[in-house]
Amino acid sequence: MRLSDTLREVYLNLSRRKLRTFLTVLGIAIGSLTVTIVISLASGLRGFIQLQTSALADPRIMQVFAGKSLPIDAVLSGTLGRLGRPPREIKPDSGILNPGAFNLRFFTKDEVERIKKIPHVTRVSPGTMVFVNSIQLEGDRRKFEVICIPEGEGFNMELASGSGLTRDSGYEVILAQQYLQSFGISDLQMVIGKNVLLEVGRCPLAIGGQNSRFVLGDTTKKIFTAKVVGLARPTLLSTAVFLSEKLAVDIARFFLSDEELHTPDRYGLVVNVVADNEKNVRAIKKEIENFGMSAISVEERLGFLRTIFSVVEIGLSIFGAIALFVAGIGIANTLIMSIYERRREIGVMKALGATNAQVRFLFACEALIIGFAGGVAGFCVAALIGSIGNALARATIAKYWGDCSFFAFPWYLPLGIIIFCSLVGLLAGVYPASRAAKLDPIEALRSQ
Amino acid sequence: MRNNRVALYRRVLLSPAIVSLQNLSRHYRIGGQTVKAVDDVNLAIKSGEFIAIVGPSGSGKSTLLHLIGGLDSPTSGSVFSDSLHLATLSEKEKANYRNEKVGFVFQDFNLQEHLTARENVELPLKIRGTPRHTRTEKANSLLEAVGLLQRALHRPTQLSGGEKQRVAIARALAGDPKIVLADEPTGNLDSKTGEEVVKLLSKICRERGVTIIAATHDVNIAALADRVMHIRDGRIEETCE
Repeated sequence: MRLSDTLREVYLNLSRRKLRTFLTVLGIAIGSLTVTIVISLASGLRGFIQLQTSALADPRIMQVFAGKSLPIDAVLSGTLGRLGRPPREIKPDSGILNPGAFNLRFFTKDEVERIKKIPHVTRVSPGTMVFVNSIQLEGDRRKFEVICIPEGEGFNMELASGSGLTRDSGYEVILAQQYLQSFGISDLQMVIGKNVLLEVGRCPLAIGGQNSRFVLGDTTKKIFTAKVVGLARPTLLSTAVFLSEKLAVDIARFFLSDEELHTPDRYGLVVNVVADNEKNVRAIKKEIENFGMSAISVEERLGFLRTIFSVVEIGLSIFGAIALFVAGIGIANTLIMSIYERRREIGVMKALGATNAQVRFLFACEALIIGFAGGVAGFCVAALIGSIGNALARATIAKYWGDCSFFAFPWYLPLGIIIFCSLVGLLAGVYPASRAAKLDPIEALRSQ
Repeated sequence: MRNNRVALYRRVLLSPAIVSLQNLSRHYRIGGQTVKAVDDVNLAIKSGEFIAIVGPSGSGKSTLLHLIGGLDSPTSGSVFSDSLHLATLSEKEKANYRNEKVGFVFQDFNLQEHLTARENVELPLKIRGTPRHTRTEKANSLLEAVGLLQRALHRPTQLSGGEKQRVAIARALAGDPKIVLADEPTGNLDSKTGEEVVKLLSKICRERGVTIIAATHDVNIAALADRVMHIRDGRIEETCE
């Protein structure tokens, strides 16, 4: 039998019991819809988060600690990692730490110099600890919430207006664009060159360096005045204020009551190392680890986000797969019922010379077409839902977060879903098709 | 053993018979008992002959046709048809044999309800892989021969019993078979329509030199046949020329 004749026969057979065919296709379509929505949502959200984080995080930057193990790793592999097992003995260099007994120490001048000499390292700056109570525009009494990010901490903002911060900048800041709305300013240029006041309180728990005083419970506050040199494009971090290195260091010294902090002898607990190119980050990290230090790149810091999304995606996909499995049983059931109804027809076809393979192929094609139709229908509905979801997102929240698509439909998604659903159909049709092929023609012709 | 087989082949292949049954038996086990549907039948049918196999219900007429048509396999004995020893054919070769050498006409027509009269006639050619326009031409000429060209696009539910059987005859002849096996072709028709249908079948087959083997109760068929064979309990009891 020619393929075109087989397909026409399939069409005629499936259109004979329209409602039953529709319901069977619907089953597959629901499975296809679920899987498509899950994958497109996970893919869209992953892309959205990646876009947001990569807009903020410069992949060329890594944080370096003077100790061999990262503090968080040590804590997790120490106390929290026992989970009911007996406590271990703490031996020197065992890497076992209790929470609080962080393996942290200040970088020495020599260590910083060694890092600076590693090929492809363009900059080494101290990691500063900056907490600011509020921000206000000079001449405006209103105070606004703020998260201060020292320049060089690995955040990579995109300028909407103005200029960037340079290493030699004095007290300068770049504001997130959303501040314009809070300040009540409509023109981007109007805020450039204006001063903002950053209110900083001393850390009430800090015990500073040799020359500092004991400040437990101190409530002294200080205002740092800085010039706005630029505006950052809107991202999730709508309260971000990026600080020049000098401003960040001075705020950290005041906050921790330690005027010697970030001087060559007390450079910092953490240093930020910038590579000339993202590709060289891994090699630099390895070199740093060879010095007996530890480093974590932006890529590693964001890795957990991807892991979370992958787990959620796999979990939800399992539900979709179960839906498709159930739909597959529906196809098998439909075809088996169809074989019972069409026994006589199958008998006639065999009497007229149809081979077992031809009968098997006909039923397998019916199953394949049901799977294919379900896959296409499910994907189309999912694409419609996704488009509506994306349109709603653009109309409501995109103005705060920039352009965002929560549902992503990469080119391979329709292809993959439709092929997968067709395969589910084909697999479900294997047994019924084989049963139809093996029908005894005489028995089939006798049946009513 | 081998010599016997060679002798059997030589005898059959040298004979003018298109169908040759050699010690053919088909036994079934039903409820612990052996039912001899066909029992040691020897028969030679010449090309172009019209044979009527007459016998009561359950006498083995249909089983005999199924064995000749390659739908069933014998318990013992051999069926030679158009120089083919059916027992030696694979499943696919048997299907090809049914498609190319044999045409079936059934008591209850067995037309596909979802197809038109013409599509039903085209079915053996469709299975064979014949291109659409060729098989449509062939189906139209056969429908014309059975007087139903004007009903070509009608579905079986829109046809009378006699018309359905005429479509079935056209379908049986679509693949240009050498043998038409008709199992009670008038069983579901009134006597007048039955007579017309049998005459039509006989006329068309004789024109085309096709051998007809018809299992029947119908005296009209027997009257038109070249030979009438009476079968009882699976055995051929007498043959009338």
